Amino acid sequence: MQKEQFSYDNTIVRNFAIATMVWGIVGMLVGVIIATQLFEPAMNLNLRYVTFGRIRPLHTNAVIFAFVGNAIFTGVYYSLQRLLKARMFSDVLSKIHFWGWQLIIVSAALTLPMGFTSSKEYAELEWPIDIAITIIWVVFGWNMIGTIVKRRERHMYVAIWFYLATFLTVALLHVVNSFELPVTFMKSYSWYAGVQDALVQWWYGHNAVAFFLTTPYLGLMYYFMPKLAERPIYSYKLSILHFWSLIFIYIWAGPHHLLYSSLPDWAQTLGVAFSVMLIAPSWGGMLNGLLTLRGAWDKVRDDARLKFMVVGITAYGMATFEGPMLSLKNVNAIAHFTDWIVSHVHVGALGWNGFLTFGMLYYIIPKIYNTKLFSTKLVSTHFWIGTMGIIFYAVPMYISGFTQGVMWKQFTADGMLKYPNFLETTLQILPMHMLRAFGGLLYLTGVIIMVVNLAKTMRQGSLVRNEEAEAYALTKEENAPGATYWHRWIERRPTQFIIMAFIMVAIGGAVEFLPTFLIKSNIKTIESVTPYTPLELAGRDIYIREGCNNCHSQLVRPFRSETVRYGDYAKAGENVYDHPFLWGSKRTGPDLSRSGDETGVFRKGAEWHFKHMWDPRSTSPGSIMPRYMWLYEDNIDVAALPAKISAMRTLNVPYEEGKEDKVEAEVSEQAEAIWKQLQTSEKGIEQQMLAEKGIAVDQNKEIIALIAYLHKLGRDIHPKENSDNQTALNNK
Amino acid sequence: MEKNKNLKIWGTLFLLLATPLVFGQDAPAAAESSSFQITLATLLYVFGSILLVIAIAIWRIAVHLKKYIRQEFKTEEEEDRTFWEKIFQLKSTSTDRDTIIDHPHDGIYELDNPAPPWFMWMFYLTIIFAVVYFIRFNFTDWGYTQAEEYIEEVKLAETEQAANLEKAGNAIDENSVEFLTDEATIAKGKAIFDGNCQVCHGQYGQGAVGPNFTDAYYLHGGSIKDIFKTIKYGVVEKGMQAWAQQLSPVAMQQVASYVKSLKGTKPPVEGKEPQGTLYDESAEGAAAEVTNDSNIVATDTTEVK
Repeated sequence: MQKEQFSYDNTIVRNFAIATMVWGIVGMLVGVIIATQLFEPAMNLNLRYVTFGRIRPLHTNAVIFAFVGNAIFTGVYYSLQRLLKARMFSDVLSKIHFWGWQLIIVSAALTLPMGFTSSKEYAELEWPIDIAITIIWVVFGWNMIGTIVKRRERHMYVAIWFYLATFLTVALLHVVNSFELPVTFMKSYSWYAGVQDALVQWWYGHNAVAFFLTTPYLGLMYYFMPKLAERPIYSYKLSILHFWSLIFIYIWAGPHHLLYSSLPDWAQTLGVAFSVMLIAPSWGGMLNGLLTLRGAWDKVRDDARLKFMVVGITAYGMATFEGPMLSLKNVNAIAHFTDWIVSHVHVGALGWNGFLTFGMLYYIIPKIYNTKLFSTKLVSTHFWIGTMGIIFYAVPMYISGFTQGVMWKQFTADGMLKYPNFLETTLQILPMHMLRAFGGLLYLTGVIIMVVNLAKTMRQGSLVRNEEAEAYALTKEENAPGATYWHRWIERRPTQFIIMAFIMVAIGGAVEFLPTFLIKSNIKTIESVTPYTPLELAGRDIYIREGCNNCHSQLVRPFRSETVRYGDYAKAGENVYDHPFLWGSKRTGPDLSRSGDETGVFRKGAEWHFKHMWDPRSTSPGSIMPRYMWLYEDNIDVAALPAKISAMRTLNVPYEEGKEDKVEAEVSEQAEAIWKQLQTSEKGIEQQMLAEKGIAVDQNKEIIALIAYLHKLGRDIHPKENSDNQTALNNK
Repeated sequence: MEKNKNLKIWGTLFLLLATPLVFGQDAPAAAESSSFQITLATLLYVFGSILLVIAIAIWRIAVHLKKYIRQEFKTEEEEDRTFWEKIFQLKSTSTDRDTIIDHPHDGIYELDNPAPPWFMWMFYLTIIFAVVYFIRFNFTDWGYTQAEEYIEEVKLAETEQAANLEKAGNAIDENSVEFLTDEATIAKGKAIFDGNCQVCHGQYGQGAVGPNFTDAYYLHGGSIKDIFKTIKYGVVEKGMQAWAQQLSPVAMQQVASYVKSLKGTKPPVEGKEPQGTLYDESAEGAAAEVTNDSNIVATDTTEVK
């Protein structure tokens, strides 16, 4: 039989590799910038477009979908062709995939600073971009599956199992989580509300980590680790075991992001149980990676690329052990909402994703340019600077997270909060934030060294655009020699494999979603909770646009330390009109869900907010919150409100018919009331504004809507007590 | 394997024989000054032990000899394993040629090794943990919901807090509060004021968002009892927050005393215009009746729900 001649497409690999490097630098640079804003808020230069709340999502999106995303495609396009002994299915699809993905990234980089955001973490992009992502993702899957169909290798290697699971699950996650109702071009409301939205979001968020940051990288590890080490994979059986158990178990664990929330207890415990079971499947990957080095550890000493792999895989092992520990309720009680979580994800991102990407790029670029690395010494330098970067990032953040988590909880012997002022706990950790920024800077420096090194490598070689290869065509023979193990059956049947993998990942989500959506008792309604008034809704959209939820939670957890500090703990019925939910995942500032509870301890008057948002340091000396001066310049977008009210009604918010026509009157009435509260004693700050910016504030400004929204938060939970309190005060 | 088994046998034997000696240590100590005597029982015990050790040793040697003669002694691979391979229960690299799957993918080979036993055990244990955990919290009385956990936490804190307050004689409220003018109290009051109050009331109490404390006019009464009450419960609709949760009763007395002491001082910066009504110090007794308003006590926000 004659061998077939064909070639591998290296151009597409090179393109994705360059995109990885470019977006890597951009994403990490944004990371360093926002890190500096967390100890010096003026680093935003008082520009709305580079303020933390808006560009923190830019950082996460850039490093996850641009840097890691392009790195995945680099590795997949390189290894898939070689593992299947076939060129990519279609060069046109490859090009559409490449340019489409870059276009999505550019549109994200433009729209997020402009304040177009859905507010859902790692899914902030608005609906037109969501549609584009869906299309391009399908193009990627089509191209990959097409290549599998025309393969010259009967069995799919373990790396390809992981690629397929990635494609399938990310598609499922993205589509389900992005159900949203467009209101205008670039504005939409999540289809789900409150607790249900939270459950869907963290099913998505957790599994974005699982199927965008973990499974594709395990696939890459299974290809590039044995290539670099020139050793066989330790255990084929272990790879089967950990592949299937990982994709099956991972999908259930999402609720561990919502422990001690108003998510039903059964769903929370289910999330914890599956998180604990995740240790072994995750470690299976780590073991197979590290044990592949048996008998080749001496190479690690000489080859910095292997050092990257080893540290990367070890970081993966650490993060996947820490994850289940963090999901235990008593650990979570301290760690959640703190820098501990930020540290945890960065060990994964910087260590696992970053280092594996670097090892891979240092392998691929010389190969496709048919040359040697420009400098192996620089690779070593990069490795050590990068490692120092991770240490300088992670250690301070662990200390910071633990310190603040414990400070929030401390009581004095008299039963008073030891640190009643949230700000005290913030000031305590600022030195750690400075060290973290330094760690990030080190890491970025390493990446720049890599880019220089690889650019020089590219220059000294020349790209082999079409790498010649040959292989026998696939025969019809069903039982290849030596293929007796039961799992071999599914390895040569892509269709059955895809169906099986889909069933595995679909089960977990279905079991958690269906009862939460269908059984009423899971979300107890509260009669006194009313929908937002038009002005409050406008304020809520400003809150979303500015990304307040990146630093402020709206979820008081059932701990004494939180109910004393903020007020009643969160109930599911409070959020039934919240499209989307805004619970947040990090408390850089205090929780805001009781900002409007008139019986509570946390309500601040309109005057206070007015002063605070203009200059947070005027009311809270030392605060790291940025100034929001543009809220005093821009008018409330009243014209957009009728459409928003209609959209909300479509989503089952009980606004009466004809509400749209009354919007203008209702807005001006409520704004006037707030304006009157401010009129009593705010002469001073108005003068300051005039002097500073030449701004004349009136009741039509956005700040008024934001105050209205903040005073709505938590107001409905004590309607009776609130009115009693009012009576008592009036009697007095 | 063989080595481990030997270790277990000898270890058990050693521990068994040593146990009576450990307990035996009490005897000499109790006897204090009496001279050391070897009793017949001890003698028999020592001889018996030696005989037992010899018997077992002979038995083990016999077993070894038998294996040696039958060529069952240790396979080569066991010898080859490195320290770490034994620790992690891994196959030696020298077995790779037997376990390699003769089907490379792009030059990558896989070995047909089993997953390490400790790894499998870890997997089984986490599954058992997960099942027990889920059943415990959802189907048994042994578990609890987060709401129950919260109630328990608050109950415990209330008991402790009550005990502590009693011990510290800290049960000051708006009825028992006194205007203290000693230096220590005023200094502590000033520290609390600087940390919490000056943002709204000015560095010298000259007023800012909040009213001026240096004049003789008060919005909510100028008696120490009224000031204490304003601090404790706040005047929420006007922006004054309730401090009962943030400051202990003693601390509130200190800061109330400090605020009262500011009356009539001359701040270095211009103060806010007077607000409220002129407070007459001589009418101290008359103002007290307001503090007994039961409506206010009913809305005590110190109570944790």
